[in-house]
Amino acid sequence: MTRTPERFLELLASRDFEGLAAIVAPQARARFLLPHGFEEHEGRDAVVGRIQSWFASASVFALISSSADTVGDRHRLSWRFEVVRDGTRREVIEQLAFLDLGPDAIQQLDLLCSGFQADSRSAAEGSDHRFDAGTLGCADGLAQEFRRRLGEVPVGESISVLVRDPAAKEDLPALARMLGQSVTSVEAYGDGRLEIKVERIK
Amino acid sequence: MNEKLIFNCTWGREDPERATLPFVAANIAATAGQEAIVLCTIEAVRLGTTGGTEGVEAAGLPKLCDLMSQFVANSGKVWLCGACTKPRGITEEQLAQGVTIVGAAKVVEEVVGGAKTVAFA
Repeated sequence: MTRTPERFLELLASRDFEGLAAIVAPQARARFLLPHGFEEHEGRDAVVGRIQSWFASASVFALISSSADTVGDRHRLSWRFEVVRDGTRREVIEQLAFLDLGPDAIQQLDLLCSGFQADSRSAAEGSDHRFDAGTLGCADGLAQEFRRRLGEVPVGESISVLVRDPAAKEDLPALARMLGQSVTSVEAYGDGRLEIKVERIK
Repeated sequence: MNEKLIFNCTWGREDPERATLPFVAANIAATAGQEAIVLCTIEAVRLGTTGGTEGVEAAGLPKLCDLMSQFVANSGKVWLCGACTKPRGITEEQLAQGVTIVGAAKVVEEVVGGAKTVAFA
């Protein structure tokens, strides 16, 4: 059973707001420090609804990095997303959250938000292909999906693949090499995910 | 040149003899300085968890927990099939020392690269 904070990150990254609501307590409270000021929300629907309002309509929404840790009894989570909200402009947003858990759901969420910031870095790189494989592993279609995504990447450009499944971490570089491609970097995140950058060389 | 030897193990504690034998062979390979891997599939994946080999012992064969410790100390590696660990709820946190979860592509790449496989039914 995935622990609630990690589950929160997974559900948020996949924009599964119904799933998020299921792990937030009905009487949950949230305090958000946003660029425009301070907001307080009470009740599951209000809390999850506010989070949904930030991300639901983005046409591009990719998790760049995240972390999960504990501070005493509190759970510290952070995440950075790359988003496109207006159809053209790439932005990044980072949020830091402290969660208090009840017996089986999130009771309190305190969150600090960077706001949506223009992403000059990825614009300068010119190419930015990402594939968040989630929990896909070797027996449920990772290889086929990776090959399909790779096919969409022009020769000479790279794709960053984010994997969480332990077997996928060993498999994906092997797959890439067997397909004649080059694995240019492997980065481990503290939350158990691995980002593997593959350059399409043929 | 890839000189790995991959020994397949498909049985867990429900059949101690079948569970132990691939490790006996692999440990001989490791002792002889060969790069040896035991690839655990099906019920054998449980052997790669902490405490997973406790009490697994077949008549005439060494205790599997001692054997696996020796094998790992001899630079032997234990791979667990990711497609078998997933439905059994086995996570990386539960793995014993020297054990890794891998997928089919990793094994295929090794075999394509020249690794030899030894099957135990």
